[in-house]
Amino acid sequence: GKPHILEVVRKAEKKILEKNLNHEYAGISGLPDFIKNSLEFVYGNDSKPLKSHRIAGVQTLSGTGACRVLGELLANFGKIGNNKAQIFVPNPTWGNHIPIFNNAGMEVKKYCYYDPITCGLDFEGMIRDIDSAPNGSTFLLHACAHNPTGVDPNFEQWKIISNAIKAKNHITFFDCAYQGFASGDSEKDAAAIRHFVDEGHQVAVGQSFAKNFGLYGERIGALSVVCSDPEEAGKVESQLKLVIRPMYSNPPVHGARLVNEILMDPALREEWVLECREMAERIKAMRQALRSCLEGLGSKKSWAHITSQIGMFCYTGLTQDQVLKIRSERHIYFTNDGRISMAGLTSSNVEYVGESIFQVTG
Amino acid sequence: KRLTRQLLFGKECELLKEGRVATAQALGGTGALRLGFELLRIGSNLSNESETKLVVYCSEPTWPNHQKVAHDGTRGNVEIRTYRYYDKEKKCFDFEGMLEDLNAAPKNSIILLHLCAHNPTGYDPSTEEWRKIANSMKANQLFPFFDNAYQGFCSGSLETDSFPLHIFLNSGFDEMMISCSYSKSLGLYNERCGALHVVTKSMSEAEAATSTLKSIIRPMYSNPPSNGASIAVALLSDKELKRQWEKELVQMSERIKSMRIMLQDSLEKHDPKGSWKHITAQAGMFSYTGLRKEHVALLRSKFHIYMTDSG
Repeated sequence: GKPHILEVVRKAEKKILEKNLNHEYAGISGLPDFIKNSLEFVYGNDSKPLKSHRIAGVQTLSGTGACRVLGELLANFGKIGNNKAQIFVPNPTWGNHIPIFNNAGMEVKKYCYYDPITCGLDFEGMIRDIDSAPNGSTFLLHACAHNPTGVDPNFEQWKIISNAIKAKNHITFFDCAYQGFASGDSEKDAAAIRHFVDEGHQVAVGQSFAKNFGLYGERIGALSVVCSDPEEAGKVESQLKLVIRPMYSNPPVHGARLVNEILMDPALREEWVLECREMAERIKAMRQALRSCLEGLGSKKSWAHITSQIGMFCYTGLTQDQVLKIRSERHIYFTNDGRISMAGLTSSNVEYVGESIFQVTG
Repeated sequence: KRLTRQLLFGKECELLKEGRVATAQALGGTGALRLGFELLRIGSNLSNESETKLVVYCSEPTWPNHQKVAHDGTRGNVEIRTYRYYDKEKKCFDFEGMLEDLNAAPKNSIILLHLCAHNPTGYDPSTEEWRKIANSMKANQLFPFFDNAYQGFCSGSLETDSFPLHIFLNSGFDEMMISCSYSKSLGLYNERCGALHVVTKSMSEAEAATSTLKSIIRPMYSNPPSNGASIAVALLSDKELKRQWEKELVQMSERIKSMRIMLQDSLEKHDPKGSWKHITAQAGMFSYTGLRKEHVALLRSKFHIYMTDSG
């Protein structure tokens, strides 16, 4: 597809060109201003660990890069005898998570997450798996807008998850790829992360600015680790650099400059908030339109999950057979797990999609 | 990818017409080297379980990150050895030592070679020496992995700087890797613009290599940053811009050459008995001055001139 370029990004790009900056290397951990601003973005300006300088942060190649760098760090330090370090990911998760952590040298295990009966969260299964994992395991959580299901825990559930993880001394890694883009409110989308931090978890967070800033091709993201004190944060940053240098030496600056420009300029930031909210609202509107269409056609099935799920993707609940039928007969493309990209729906095609789904599901 | 292949091999190179070069855009020269070692790891079936190791030879000395990239790219399944390169006593290129070490290298060892402007010594083999190196390596079935960080920046000419590659191709090597950086030659340091080129035996092998490279890249950073590559493409595909660039390469390399001449002149003036010819015999961004650790420390404390302990 042709991703939309945010107007605020065009403005930021112009500003940067005017500054006539040079192409000098950024430094292994990346642009310091970008790191500072992106950490404030996710942890909040008044975040205690941020103010006490005990969060180690590095610029990464978008979300993928953040996952890979953390994976290599954990693989180095998390070995138990001859056994590889493990990481638990939700079932299902973004397809690339598994090869990322495998290639980083870790073993990937899954925890219960999606319930195909309800097209919602298998909350009991998830808590059960958190409880039964060995103490001190690493758990990957999607901060918001779970990819691929669109199913997120509600805040009450997040509190229970936090307690369960704390009880087992697990390490939490939040993959945060949609802050601002999920609900339309970037503070709300970071709520789970901030709750964990408030509860004393020393989380790791991977941020991507591909979707919420539309900067897909620039590969801009960040990885941070909350530590006990500034000294430990310094040590962790040092170890992260040891992973980064033999991988690509230092990160590409263009995307970092753009994000930084937008985050630190109040006018641009305000514009971004509005544009991002617009994108999120459009998707919510599409969810509502699709659900209404199906209900209006008289479908006997429940389609509530379409509007209770959040973010770019929707696990419709269609079976593989239904997916294949809709592909060949109506030329609509779902992945075999029944997932569609909500971002692909528009006011001009949503009726057609609704009718097609109704045709194959009844 | 097409344009960087042409830049390195020359538009008319048979290899390109035969489709035998697999190219991946990479994160600068480091990123290209890393992809190369990951590909070698997969191609050699290395794993912690099998206990076989890749034998990699780096020059002594070499860019310090080479060994780290080789280590991480092969997940530690590597044995790093060095081939002699710099003669500390005579302060010159140790060609005989290099050849001896290559002749003793086990079959299928990976030899990391600097295409031009050796980092950090500045010593490059002569044409004749490159021919002998190529013949030795062919006879011993060694695998060439060229690090190309300075094409065009060393002599000022893109063609001249790539001649060792053609010596190897003409010596009958049908497989090799070249990591390319555009940080220095295009001045795109922080955009992370580079490429890995893999010369294979056939078009289908090149396709297989491309596919494997994708499976390495996706779990590392998904896809490369677009900005630097867009700039490089805009430049390389525009005749006028490319011409301007070639002029600027000459300017940058001439400036460095003139600095070498001026430094050597000044040294010879103040130390007429001393031997400073190596300053202009060396090429590229760096010079192994021959200064010892004590000299370096004195320069730092007394004159606030900063150089690495190696001189």
